[in-house]
Amino acid sequence: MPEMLLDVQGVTVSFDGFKAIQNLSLTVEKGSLRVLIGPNGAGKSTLLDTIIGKVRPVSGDVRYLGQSITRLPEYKIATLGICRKFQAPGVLDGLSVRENLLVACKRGKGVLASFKLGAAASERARVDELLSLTGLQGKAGMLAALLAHGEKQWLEIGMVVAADPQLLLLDEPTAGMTAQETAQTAELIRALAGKHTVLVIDHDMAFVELLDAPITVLHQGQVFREGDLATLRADADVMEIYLGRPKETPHAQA
Amino acid sequence: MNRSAQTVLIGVAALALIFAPLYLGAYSLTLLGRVLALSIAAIGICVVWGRGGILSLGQGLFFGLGGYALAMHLKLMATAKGELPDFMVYNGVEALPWFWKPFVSAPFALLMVLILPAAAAGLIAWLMFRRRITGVYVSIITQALVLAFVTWLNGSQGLTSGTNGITDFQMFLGINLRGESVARGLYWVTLLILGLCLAATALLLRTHFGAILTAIKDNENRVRFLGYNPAAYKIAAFALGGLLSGVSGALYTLHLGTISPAMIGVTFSIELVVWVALGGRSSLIGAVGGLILGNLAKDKISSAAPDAWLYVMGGLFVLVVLVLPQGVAGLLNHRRVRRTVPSVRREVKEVTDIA
Repeated sequence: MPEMLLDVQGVTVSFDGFKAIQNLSLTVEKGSLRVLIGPNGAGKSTLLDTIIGKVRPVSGDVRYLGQSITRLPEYKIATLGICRKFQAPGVLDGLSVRENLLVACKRGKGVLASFKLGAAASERARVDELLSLTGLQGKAGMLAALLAHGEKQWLEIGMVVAADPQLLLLDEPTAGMTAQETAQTAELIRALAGKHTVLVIDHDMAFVELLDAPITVLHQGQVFREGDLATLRADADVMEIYLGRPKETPHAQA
Repeated sequence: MNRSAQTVLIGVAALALIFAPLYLGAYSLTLLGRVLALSIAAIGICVVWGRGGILSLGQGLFFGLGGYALAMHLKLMATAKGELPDFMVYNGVEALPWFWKPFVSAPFALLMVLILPAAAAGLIAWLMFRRRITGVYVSIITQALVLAFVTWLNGSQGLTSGTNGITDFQMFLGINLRGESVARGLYWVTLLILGLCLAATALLLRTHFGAILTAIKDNENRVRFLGYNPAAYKIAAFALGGLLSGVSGALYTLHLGTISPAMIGVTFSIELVVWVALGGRSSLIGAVGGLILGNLAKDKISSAAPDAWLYVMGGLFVLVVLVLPQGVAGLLNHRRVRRTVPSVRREVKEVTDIA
């Protein structure tokens, strides 16, 4: 049996009585690439929030490499090797692209370790590696605020990958990208999948198709189906929740 | 303005300050020395607000702690052995309160000038940032704290001399403060300490610590989920801001020969922030320059037209908020930032042309 990296066990998250996630269980194998889809409000982003500790579940447990992380502070969860890219690009506007990556790949994250000028050779090498991974070599000295939208998305992917986390959580990494940028991003993510375990949320079916990975469909805070894209496309129930069509469509004319 | 012009300008200003005692009159020199002492607090605000994005409206609290720590020592030095400071006698205090006793020692007092403000700032920051209090709430809390401190000072006549403040100093480290050449010496010492604080802070902001502080201001969540604990960084920055305020307060007390609650209250704390905002909060030179020039202007304007002063200051603050969010320093750097923007625009245009 393959080793489980992430094990979400019966998690329920409630916002003032509204259950965004209900008794959800999900396991992610080490080294796998997994796509999460589902209609708006299905609980996709909330699930990622719960894994990284931004939101605390009322019941259930999130286990990472066999250890419960449900009650750990966020920054400790991050240092265990779980890193998330947010939906809106979360780059550090006031720093240059190079500095952004450097902040992300520093090993010592404590205050005392931060009183240092410059960067270690290994860190500089890592930053150069990330610059070429994200295709931002030409813009290393530019303020992150001045990057185009798609470039910001790539920069943030670079930052998330920087510290070599085992588990990457990517929340709509292609939001706002052109078709070509989306294709490049898919390639980038597939390249990462061997080294890291990747969990991707996206709405864009063309992108999901390019990823060519097992899919989990969430609906109303629960796992609705799991399978590959072809199976799910043939599943009437999935099409119904996704497209909001009634099951019987005798009068459909289009 | 490019970098070399900036360096030349700073060099000229530094030389003018170093040789000021040779060409300035007694009044002007005292005024300048006092303002230089005050500008050390501006360095702290630059770190805390300009870089860390934490707007404290209570820096007077830490300024006061530094000032009072030194004033207590100076008061004991001016009091004959075995006697009580004059204000305690007037208020019927019979024995020296316990927390006054160690201030007989100059090293202890000097240590307290550094430790008290830094520890108080660190503690306040720990209570606030651990609970993730941010933004305007931090401003309100710090303002309330300085108000509470001033109220306590005013009410504790016998312990702190109340509204009169502590005054009548004579000797410090064996030097007679009323001596002839003391003004010059004190000016140079102040300038030296200001220079050291500036250099050390500039160096600190160039380390990884400075980058993380800017990062936290931009996007605290992103930094947190990269594995940093933002609260720890904010606490460190706030404690440093408190420390610099305390040093400033102690020097200011030496220059003025007195410290009282009226000098460190809410108005004072807000004024500090206004000058830093005017000069440019994210630039060390901007913050310090803004405070120095602002206070020199205040001296001129308020002696010419005492009633107009508050309106002038209020007007300037409104101007900064509306027109110059990065202050005068931001205006000088404006061109450098602008130059990179057209290239982005051009790219956009090319794309639309193709389309």
